[in-house]
Amino acid sequence: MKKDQEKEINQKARDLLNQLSALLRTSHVHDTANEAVISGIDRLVSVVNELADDQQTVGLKLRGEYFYLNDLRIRYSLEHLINFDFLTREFKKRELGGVIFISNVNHNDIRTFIAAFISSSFSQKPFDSIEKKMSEVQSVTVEKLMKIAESEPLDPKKMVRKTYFNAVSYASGIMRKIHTGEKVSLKTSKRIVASVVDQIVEEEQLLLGMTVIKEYDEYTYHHSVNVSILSMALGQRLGMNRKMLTDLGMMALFHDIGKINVPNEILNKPASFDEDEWKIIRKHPFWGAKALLKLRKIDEFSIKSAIVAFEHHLNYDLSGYPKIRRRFELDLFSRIISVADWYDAITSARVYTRTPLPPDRALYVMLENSGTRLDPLILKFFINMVGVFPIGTIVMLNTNELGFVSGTNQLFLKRPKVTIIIDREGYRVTGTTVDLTEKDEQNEYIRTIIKTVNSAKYKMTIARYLQ
Amino acid sequence: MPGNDDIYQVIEIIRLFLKSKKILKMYPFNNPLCINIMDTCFAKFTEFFSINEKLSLKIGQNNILYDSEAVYSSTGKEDNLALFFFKDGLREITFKRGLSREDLYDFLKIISFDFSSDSVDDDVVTLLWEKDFQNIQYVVEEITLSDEEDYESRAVAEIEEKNTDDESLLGAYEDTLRNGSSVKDMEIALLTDKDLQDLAVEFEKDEYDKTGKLIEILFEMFLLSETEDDFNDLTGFFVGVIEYLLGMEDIDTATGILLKLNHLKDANGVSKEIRNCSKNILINISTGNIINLLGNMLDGSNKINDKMIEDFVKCLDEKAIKPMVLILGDLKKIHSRKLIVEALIILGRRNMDSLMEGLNDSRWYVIRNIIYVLRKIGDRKAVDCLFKTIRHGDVRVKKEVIRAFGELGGAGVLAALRNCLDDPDYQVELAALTEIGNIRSEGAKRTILKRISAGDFGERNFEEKKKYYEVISKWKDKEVRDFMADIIDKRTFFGRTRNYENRACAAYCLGLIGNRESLPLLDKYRNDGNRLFSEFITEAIRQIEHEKGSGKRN
Repeated sequence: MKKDQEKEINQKARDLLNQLSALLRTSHVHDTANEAVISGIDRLVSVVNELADDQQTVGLKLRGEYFYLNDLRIRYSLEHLINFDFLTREFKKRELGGVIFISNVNHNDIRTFIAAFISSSFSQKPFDSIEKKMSEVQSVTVEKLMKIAESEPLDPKKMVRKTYFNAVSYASGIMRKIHTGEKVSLKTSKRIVASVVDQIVEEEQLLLGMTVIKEYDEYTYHHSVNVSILSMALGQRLGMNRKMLTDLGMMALFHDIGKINVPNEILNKPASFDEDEWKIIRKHPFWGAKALLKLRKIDEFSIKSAIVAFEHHLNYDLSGYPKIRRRFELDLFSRIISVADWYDAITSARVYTRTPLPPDRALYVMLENSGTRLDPLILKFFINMVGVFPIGTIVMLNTNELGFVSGTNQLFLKRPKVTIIIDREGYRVTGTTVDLTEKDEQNEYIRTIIKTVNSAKYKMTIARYLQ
Repeated sequence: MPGNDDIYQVIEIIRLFLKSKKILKMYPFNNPLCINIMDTCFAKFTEFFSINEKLSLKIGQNNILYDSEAVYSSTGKEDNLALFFFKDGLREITFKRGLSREDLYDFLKIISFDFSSDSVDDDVVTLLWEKDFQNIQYVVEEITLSDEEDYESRAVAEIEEKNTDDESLLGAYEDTLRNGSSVKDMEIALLTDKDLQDLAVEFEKDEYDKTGKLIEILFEMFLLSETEDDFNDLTGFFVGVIEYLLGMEDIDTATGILLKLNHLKDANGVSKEIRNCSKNILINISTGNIINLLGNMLDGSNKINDKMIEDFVKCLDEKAIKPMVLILGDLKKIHSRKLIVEALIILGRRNMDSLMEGLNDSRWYVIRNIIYVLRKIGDRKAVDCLFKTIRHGDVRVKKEVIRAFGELGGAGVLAALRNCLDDPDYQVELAALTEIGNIRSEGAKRTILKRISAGDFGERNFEEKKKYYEVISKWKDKEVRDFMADIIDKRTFFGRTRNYENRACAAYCLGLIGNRESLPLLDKYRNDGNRLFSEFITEAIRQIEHEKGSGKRN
């Protein structure tokens, strides 16, 4: 296929995905007889048939995290990110691997497909439900998600856990080496970060879940990895490509390197710091920049990482530390990492607060600092990523069940997935996960969050469920 | 089992990988040799994919298998393709039908990349990963990444101990059920088109080079530094940044830093430590490494701002003189040499001794440049050193020394020039003669008159003789005019031709002196029978008359 032709088809394929995404979003709210849905269906019919003129059969397939039009991977840019993300989740939720449109698709065929798609979310076997309903339609067929259909999947939880601990182990090793002045190679860190990027793309929620556990002794290393994960997840939402995500992950991994100069008795002090101790703590961005610039000859990596290490506590309005004389705008990476750093720090019983905030409260605090200490634009993306109730928030439901948020929902920010740990009778249970978007036959939500629980108050940990 | 044809094709593809790896390392990618080998490789893949769906290679430490057949094996450590992949954890590479020419080219570029440098953070896997090839897939073994064996189990066990017991959990449940406060209704603003546009602007800004930002931070770090170590580290960072900037051919930014440091080193209102550190940085920047980078940049770039180079050099310490002298002989472009010579004129004034050490360089052209620099500096201190250099074996060096002598003057210069008049090389003699003429002292005049009066002077060829007369004409005094008059009036019986040549030269000299008092004498010989003599007489008269007409007086 010639480049121009490929470009043209890619454009049409993006149109197809955008139209389908918009139509499904509208159909979540309105019936298929609604005017907005009808005009959406018409637009989709037009796009499909136009593509069918070129391709005969239009197969829209999800493989891994990518959509393909027949065998061509659909490449997308920042402005399509939200639609792509939405469709990927919706397809996966239904184990739907592909939709094949055969030429001359009409309004009714698409309408049947949309109705089947929406109603399948209430079914135990969503793909079978769609397939059954589509069996009457000649011009549209569906395929099951290949990963599920073809082979036994690897346990994603185990893979994520391995990636996470691999990263923490590496972080602790490299920081010790830097502290003792050993020569370090960054090749491994790039490999580690690359594997995290892969996991962010495929298993973001699980990986974010790993960042919720704060009970490790070597918290400094976990914090570096957590900030790296949160930053990369945010970077992905911002539409960064792999190269940028890797850079961001690397910078975040080393952002706190200056803490290797802070004595352990201060870092691990159980009580609050006195003024002298704060003075030392406030030196760590300066020390961090120094450590990174000393690591090797000045190059792109040392420049970018030293900037982040120096700026990550400066605050958006430069009111933070270290105190600087000339005003300048913070680097984009510094602003992203600063948001991730804040979130992980204030939800941990560590350096900056001895009383950790629950994730939902942490967001309130961060919002209060939007535009002053935190970049409002980046924070907005962050909150849209983690939702009103971020992963790890312990919640009480209107059903008197107690659980913790184990997955967010991009479409319904207040209706995440919750893993139940105490049932409505007050008994401890092993952890079933429920989706708060589920409705009963009267079209009412089955479960709703009514209270959040401050885990620190009760010294609660949910680590065992997240691992 | 694959057929023999397939195996031969795969072996050929591997051979082409190896060949590409070598050629692409040696030449730029757009070199016809590179393009040719990559095209050949692509043609081989096209042939293979006309029958097969995919080409899957299993990577061992010392061999590569296609299906279960070995298509490559080597036990060496250098140039072992299997080991090259294996050491980075690659265990399988699969090329699929649909592999594009561009993707194959990128793959070949990756395998020919030089991973040996310490500053390279990538390995084969990260480069393949970044490219995200649609039709090249690979399997990687990640076991070597973790620093600590079984870190995971230890960390998991650690938090297991901290898990909340059932009683506490149920207590928390009961308490929350009864007393917990309801959730606040936090409204989250959804992302808008404006947000995406703002983000796009942020991304655009982020594409710019960040060195400028680092420099701002380094100057802030100056103020935050407290210990000697801090200042020493800063010195190293500034030097590193300057090296980096010169490597990037960004002389403007580098000069900006130096100017600022130059200001700080003498500035009032800043601490002594900062002033000293600024001074130290400027000294440390004046070393061989930086000067070599400067030289590479001058030779390699076509967009050099001469004024920036001048400003850059002005900030350097005199320590830069020696390395600059060294690179002077290595630079390829005339303009680069010119800039370094200009730089040495600036720096050399601060330490003449250091500059004059360059006169011991083994390369004649470097010495000639140094002498030129000394001439431009114009300090007579250089003369003593040049007495030795005048004995240099290369005529071009000698001539440059003679010019320097002429320009600088000073004790002993005339004697040295006088010696040069005896040099077997006429060019040297001529240069010395010219410079003696430029000195215009009585001693200089006597030297030339003595040479002209010498017995063997007449034996020289006409042009050489003429040159001496031309030089002596600069003195325009009565003694010289009388000296010339005596020569013009002189008649001989033997050696008449040579005598006429001398008389013609004397007439030429009087013409150059241009004194009207010489006219009667010249008129006397206007119609002399010797053609050469009468021509020079006529020309001299014409010249003096012309001088008269133009109102010049002697």
